[in-house]
Amino acid sequence: MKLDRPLIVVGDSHTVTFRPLDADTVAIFHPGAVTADAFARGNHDLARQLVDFVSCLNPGIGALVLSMGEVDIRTHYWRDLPILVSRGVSVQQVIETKVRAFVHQVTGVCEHFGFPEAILWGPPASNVPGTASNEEFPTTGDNATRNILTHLFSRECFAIANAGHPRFRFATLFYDMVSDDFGTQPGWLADGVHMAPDLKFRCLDRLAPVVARQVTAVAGDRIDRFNRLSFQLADVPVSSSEGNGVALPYRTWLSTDHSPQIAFGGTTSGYSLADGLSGKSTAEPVSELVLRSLDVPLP
Amino acid sequence: MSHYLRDLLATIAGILGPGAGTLDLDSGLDVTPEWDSLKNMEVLLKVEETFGVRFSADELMSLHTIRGINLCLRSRGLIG
Repeated sequence: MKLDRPLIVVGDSHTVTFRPLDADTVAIFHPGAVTADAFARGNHDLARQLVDFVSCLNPGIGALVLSMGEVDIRTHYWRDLPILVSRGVSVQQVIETKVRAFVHQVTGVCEHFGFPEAILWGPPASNVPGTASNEEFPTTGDNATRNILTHLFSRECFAIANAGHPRFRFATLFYDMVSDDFGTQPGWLADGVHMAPDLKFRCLDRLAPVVARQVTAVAGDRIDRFNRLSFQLADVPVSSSEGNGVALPYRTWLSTDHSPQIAFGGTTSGYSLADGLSGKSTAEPVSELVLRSLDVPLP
Repeated sequence: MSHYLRDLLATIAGILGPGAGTLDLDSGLDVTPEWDSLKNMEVLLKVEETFGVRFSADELMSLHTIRGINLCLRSRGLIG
């Protein structure tokens, strides 16, 4: 599908999805591992760089596309979420608060620079353990947990845009990329984290109706099914293939003391955030805190 | 500077380590070296422990500077 307007793409490394191969894209600005949370806080460096970049553009020449959220979900959200849940808020409430702060900032940026609206290109499905190094792409929580967080983030963005927000639009391929139990489907991520380059035109097809202002949000058919699910914290055993001295390839909340950086009390007490089980052998069973759907049987 | 504020700065400096440099009221997430989202939560939990307070979930999500933490503690009459 031919785009109605050229794109001005700003954000994290997933901007590479829209790397210019033709006249569809006029500019890409990738100032680093930009997070939606930092953008929402008005991060000084990011704000200054954004001002420098956007002030050189004519807001009438293209559609402003933001690419943010994947770094938040892969690295940051699961660090804090169990603690916040232990203080009596639901996972959904935490994500809604974060998304609403982000949308508020997007609105301010649009109004300041004269863009009629901004489209968030939603975060893709999260990386599968073993497909990307933890040093290069820091990861917290297991694959299904991060994909559930991506769903909750996307659901809130979709709802806000679909309800007719004056400035905020949303498009995502996430729901095409995951299985019913929130596993990332093979073949989508080229390096374990980023969308395979040959999927660029599929991304543009998904984005096109929003760019053309035919719809305010687009996420594919499966979002309706996922929206009917609810979620809970769950305690699952770390399998012998992953535990007992073999590295868990991500940081996670474990039930026993493995070099904790944070421990917390409350209803989910007894867990500590640790860099997996790398190099450690453990005689006692270890369990991991995860997010799971109430409607999908736990393993 | 009150001794309460000095205690607050020392508490936070203890979490962030020497790499954070000299802290002041404007120090915080995004602007201070070593102060990332993980450290932010560690800072808030340590302040709770040190000053005998319990932040709400909203406060845990919104406090990310020393100025904000200081104002929150002052609003509870806990710090000068």
